[in-house]
Amino acid sequence: MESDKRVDILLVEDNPDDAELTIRAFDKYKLANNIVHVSDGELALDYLLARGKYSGRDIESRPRIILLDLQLPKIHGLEILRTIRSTPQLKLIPVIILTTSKEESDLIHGYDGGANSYIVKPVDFEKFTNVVRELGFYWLLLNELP
Amino acid sequence: MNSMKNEKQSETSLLLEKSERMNRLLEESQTIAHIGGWEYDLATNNITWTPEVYRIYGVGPEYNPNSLQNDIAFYAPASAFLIEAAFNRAVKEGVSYDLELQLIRADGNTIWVRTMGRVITEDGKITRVHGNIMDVTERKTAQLELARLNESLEIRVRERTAKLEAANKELEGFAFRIAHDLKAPLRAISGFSKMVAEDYSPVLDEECKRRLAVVSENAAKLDTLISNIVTITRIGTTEPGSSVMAMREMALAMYHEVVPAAEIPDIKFMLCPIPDCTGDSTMMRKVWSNLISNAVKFTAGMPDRVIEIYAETTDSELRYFVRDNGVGFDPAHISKLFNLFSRLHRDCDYQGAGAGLAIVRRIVELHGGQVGAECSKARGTVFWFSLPRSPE
Repeated sequence: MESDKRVDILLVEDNPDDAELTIRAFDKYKLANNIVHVSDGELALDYLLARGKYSGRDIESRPRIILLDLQLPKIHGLEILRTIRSTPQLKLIPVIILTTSKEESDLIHGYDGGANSYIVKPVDFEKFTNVVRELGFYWLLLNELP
Repeated sequence: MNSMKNEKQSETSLLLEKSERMNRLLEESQTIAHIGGWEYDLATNNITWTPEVYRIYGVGPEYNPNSLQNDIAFYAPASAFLIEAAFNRAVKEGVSYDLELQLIRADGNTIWVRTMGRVITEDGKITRVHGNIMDVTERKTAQLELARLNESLEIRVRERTAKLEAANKELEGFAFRIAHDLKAPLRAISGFSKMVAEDYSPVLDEECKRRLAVVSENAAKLDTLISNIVTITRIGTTEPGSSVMAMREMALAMYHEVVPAAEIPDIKFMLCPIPDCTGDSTMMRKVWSNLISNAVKFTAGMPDRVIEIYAETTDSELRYFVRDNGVGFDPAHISKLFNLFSRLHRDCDYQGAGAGLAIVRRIVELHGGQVGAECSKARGTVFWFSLPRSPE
């Protein structure tokens, strides 16, 4: 059954083109089999907390990593991060922040808020796929996930 | 007999004349200075005023100053309280006073006066109190106005500074939001054109792939441009940090960051010992990477590439040099070199959005330093920047 299959990546990204590029990069390097993509912060929390649109989901089935864009509609990425970190069932999931903003304050917040990693989305597609590949390789294959 | 009487008479009249002259002089000087003299005789309770005192009070010569109560009544209530206390203290204890008070003249106008009083003692007893009173309205009002202006100026400066800081913050945020919003479509342009070239590679001819490459190259250029604009905006709006920077290590690190690994063996890189200095290390790294990156660009394709980094120290500054033996530029264009977006070479030969040197200049100037460049056949091209020496 589909519900048995563990979700590798929850991708929280509002830009459909960025989402497509990200998913393709993971596909290209066969790093992840099951990617769930949500396009705003509220849906991300709905998914993670198995509520609203996703109320049928098993909350114990957690994605292996969360890729989180910061500039999201409805709820800002950092807010989502805070919620994840303060929810017992979710707080151990590695969160990687994927954004264009090099702003220092974001950086600090990102690390303070408990993000595991903070990566800038490069414009150059090759660099982008390299970043994704390194990410995926580390977090999905190398790293001991809880 | 008569001549002696005459002599005495002329002596007396001379003395009289002199005395009159002195009186006139005194009175005139009192008038000019708006200062009047007064005296209180404890024995007779009489008060004597010089003419200027009458004028200050705005009363005519018919006014009798003998009543202390009346005289004091002219003062504004708070002032009257003060002068009464001071005067009584003088009379009882011999303490002098010097006060600036408000007086309401007979015509109703309020003026500022400065009044001083001192006692005269004879045989250990206080016999008289005398002093002066001076109209200081002009000076006092100017003083008060100045203080008021200063205070309101300070408030205005604080308000403007706060506004400026807020505007700067917003600009920084604005620049970032713009960069963010501009970069997203660029990622799509670069990404999708490359995706097409990759995924449809078997069915695309070389020309098609070339054109797709042009698309993504231009996206990359635009990306650099946007990054530079954001960097330059940030430099103007953030407070530079201050830490000791190991310049030699920094230059070396930036060299390795900037130069593609494949090119490193082709370049003879000479890094001389250069002094440490104080400043913002994040910004200074940008200075090095921009200057080194230029040196790399402009020696590209040469059979024998040299990049040298050295420094000179004077009493007041540390000057760092980046020299390359490359293409160089027309010395006539030096002034334009560090301007935003100026470029001196044909686009196809040398990449770069032209903002690198502008960033260098902005950062160096923010640190109180200067930038410059020289170009000669013998030495090649030298870019330098100077930083003021911190006082030891």
